[in-house]
Amino acid sequence: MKTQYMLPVLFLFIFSSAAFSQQNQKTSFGIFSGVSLNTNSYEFEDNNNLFDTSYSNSTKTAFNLGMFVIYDFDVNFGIKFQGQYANKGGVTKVNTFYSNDLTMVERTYTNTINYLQFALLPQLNILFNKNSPDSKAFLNIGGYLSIKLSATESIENQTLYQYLNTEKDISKSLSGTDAGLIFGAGIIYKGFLLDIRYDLGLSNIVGIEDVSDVLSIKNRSINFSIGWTGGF
Amino acid sequence: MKNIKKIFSFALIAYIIFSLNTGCETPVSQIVPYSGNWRFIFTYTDGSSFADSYITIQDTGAFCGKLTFSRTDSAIYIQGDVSANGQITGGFANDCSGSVRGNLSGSFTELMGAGFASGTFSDTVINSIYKGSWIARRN
Repeated sequence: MKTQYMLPVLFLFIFSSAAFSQQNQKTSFGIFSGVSLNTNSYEFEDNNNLFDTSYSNSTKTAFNLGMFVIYDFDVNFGIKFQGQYANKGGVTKVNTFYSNDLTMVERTYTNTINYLQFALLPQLNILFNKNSPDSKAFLNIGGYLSIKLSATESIENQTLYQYLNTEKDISKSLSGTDAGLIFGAGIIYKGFLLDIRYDLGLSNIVGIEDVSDVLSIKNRSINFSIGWTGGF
Repeated sequence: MKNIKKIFSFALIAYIIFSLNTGCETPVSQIVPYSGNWRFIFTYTDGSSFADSYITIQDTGAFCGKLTFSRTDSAIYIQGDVSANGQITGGFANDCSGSVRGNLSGSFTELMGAGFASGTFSDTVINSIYKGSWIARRN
């Protein structure tokens, strides 16, 4: 009985949506590039709460490049599908202090994780002028899925008088994908785009089975981009 | 003239200190990646923790540190060695120069700067219940 009612309702919904789309649809595309400030959050999840004071985190600056397609349902609301190259990671410093048979070493880990990132971002548009739809401000909140391309760890060992830099491939120690949320805002002025986004990683990217039970590392990234957008 | 003497003396002392210190440092390529201070927590096979220890892993990977039992405040020592690839072997002793008994094994992992180690132990020489697992983090 329920199905009998549901089918016509669903049909009407699809039909009315399609009719609305045909009248108001506007699809645009764009390209963007910029810089990102990246860091990683670390959390140990063991039952015994071991405090740790030797770590300090700082951001790593990287480059990003991508493209997007926006489908506008009406003048104020659309959805953006974005694909980009994202360079994430961070910088972590670990200090070892001098004592007997122990050399004071400052180890700086610069972690680089290269991703191919796809995002689906509902977009709220605020037009500056109703007569010029190519100039507007916008807000995005959505999700992303990243596929890991490669990952390396550069370790700078600095003692009082010596320096050694080593590099390690850590791609096998990290999970193949990362997922999270994106919060963004920007303006488009006559096709030129200025955009700021915050990527909040929700996945634990540690890919070593036993270690991922107790150690959680997540990606964090602030992106500043400029670009260009136009209609089909 | 006095000032010149002072400056010369200061420079000489600074040079001697600099030279001595350079000689004391282990070549950085020979320092194990896990050198530094770590906190170990030992748990019985039932999961209850019974002892902890702050241990310094030396440049060479060797270590010896006091393991204090939380209920009784009594202590024994753990001694061992960490290899460059993170494998740890060792055991228990009455002091750092004493003979080692029992078994302590496991591995160290360092990923993106976060250090973690875990393994198992048994010291059934003292008591048959002294066996279980341990975890450690940089401290």
